[in-house]
Amino acid sequence: MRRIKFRLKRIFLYIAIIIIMFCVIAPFLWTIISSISTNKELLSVPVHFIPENPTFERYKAIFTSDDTKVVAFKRGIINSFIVSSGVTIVCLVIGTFAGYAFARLKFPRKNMTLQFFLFTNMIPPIVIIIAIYFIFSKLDMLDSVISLILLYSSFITPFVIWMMRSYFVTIPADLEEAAMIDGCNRIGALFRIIIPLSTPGLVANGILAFLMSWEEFLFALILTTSKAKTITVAIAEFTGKQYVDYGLMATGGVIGAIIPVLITLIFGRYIIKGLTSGAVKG
Amino acid sequence: MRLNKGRIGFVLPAVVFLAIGSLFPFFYSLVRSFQNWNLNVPGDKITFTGFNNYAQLFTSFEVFGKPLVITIIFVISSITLEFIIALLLALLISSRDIKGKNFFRTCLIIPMATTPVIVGLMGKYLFSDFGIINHYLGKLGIPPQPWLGSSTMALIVVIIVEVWQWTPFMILILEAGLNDIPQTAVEAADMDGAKPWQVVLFIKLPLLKRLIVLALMLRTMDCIRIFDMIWSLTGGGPVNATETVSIAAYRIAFRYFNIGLGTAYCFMILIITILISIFYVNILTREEQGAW
Repeated sequence: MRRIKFRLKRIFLYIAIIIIMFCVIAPFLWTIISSISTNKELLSVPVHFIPENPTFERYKAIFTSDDTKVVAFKRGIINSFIVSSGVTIVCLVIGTFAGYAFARLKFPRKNMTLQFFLFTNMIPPIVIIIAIYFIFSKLDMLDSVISLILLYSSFITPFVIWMMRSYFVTIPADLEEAAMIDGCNRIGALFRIIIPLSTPGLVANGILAFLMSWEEFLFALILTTSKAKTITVAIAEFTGKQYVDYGLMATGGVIGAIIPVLITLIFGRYIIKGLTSGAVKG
Repeated sequence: MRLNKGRIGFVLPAVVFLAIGSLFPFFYSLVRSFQNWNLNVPGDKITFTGFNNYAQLFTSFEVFGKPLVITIIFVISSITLEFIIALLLALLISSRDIKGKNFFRTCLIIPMATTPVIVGLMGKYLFSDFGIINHYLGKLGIPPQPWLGSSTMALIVVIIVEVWQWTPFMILILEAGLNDIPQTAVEAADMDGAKPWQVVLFIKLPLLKRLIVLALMLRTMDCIRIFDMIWSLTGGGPVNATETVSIAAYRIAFRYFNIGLGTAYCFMILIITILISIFYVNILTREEQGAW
């Protein structure tokens, strides 16, 4: 009797898991299916789950067509790559040094500075953006990839500092002290001992910084008009006011989602650890 | 002495960066919020008008009150739903040997890793008039609903999409917390004859309280400032029915070009955010001073 009850419980558990997985994955699957269905099939009743004549025309169109929206989309992919990579590098460099300082060094008003960093993370972006728009337009920095890199970095750095600090704190200070006794200076100890030991933390933070800048929308929407448009702005433009080309929208969505999703699938464990350990142990 | 040399150099770049990226814009906006700067009136002289902009926010319900109410409905219902669903699922999954648990966890982070703009577009597609959701409702005998065409329905769709994207985050955090609970506490309660629901209510939940407050705080902050997902899902419509405070402030500043009113609006959002975070931080500190 107990055995049967146990079995039933397990079956129930697996059914629940399958339902969750379905809810999580189905919208993606349907978007992918739509992107390779012909326009006729998209509107057909009953719905075709497996497209009768799968077509990759839209994917081809996105890489070859001269349509202005499509050109903007291609450009958006390249811009987003440049911006996100730039932000990742800037944030990791600044974040590592500052995070280390907050973990190890003594300097005046350390706690106040740290709390201040945390506070700036709390300011809703809309509060900052109006001012940024006018400042950038005065400095002639609108619609530029470099401005986006600088701006995103200034928002993501506090987060990286905070995370790197909690990572460095877990590394025993004895290690660097030993290195310094052996003749390393602080910078040397940082590069030879601490950074190699914190590779997992650096990877996780780098990925998060990359994803955050890849997905940013509000700033890009307001600050870019043509040549620096990022992928999020370009995708949002696929849906017009009057007419929506659902097929093309689905294709753009799939391409835009591929990179974050791939990164997540490959580095998933790092990210889960980074997200949960900070919250659980913090 | 050598230890301390150049220690300021470690933090200085970060501080400078932050001053330029947040501090200066912050004060710039603060000043603007007391001026009557309206780009729609060419040649208008910019003068200080005291609390005029703020007064305007409070006298017109359409401008500030309505988006605020919509935001509050959105925040409270999404977060409550996310929390309840996630708690049930986390309790179900935690500390049992499930085959492929890591794969399952990885699947759970896919929604939160997906760009919000794209999540919004997917929602728009699934909930469109001839979309798949209406199709299946039709099969169940329910007539197609104008999901994104009616005011109440559109807000419900926005909440559904938000819950879809962020419940997994709650599940992961709560599950990590549940796994950290010492097994002995649960076993002791078991020995004393506690029923499973009693174990959850009186042992597990109290032990998780700090983590729950933290997770709720993170979600609340994110939901209040939401812009991108709603923007691509409904654009704030139909007729402003899903316009949260961020979208409303955007419209005032970048569609109507009323910069003075727009910045004042933003500061009201900031004040609300700060009040809510003080509320959460208070609970957290009280927890830490508490018995455990």
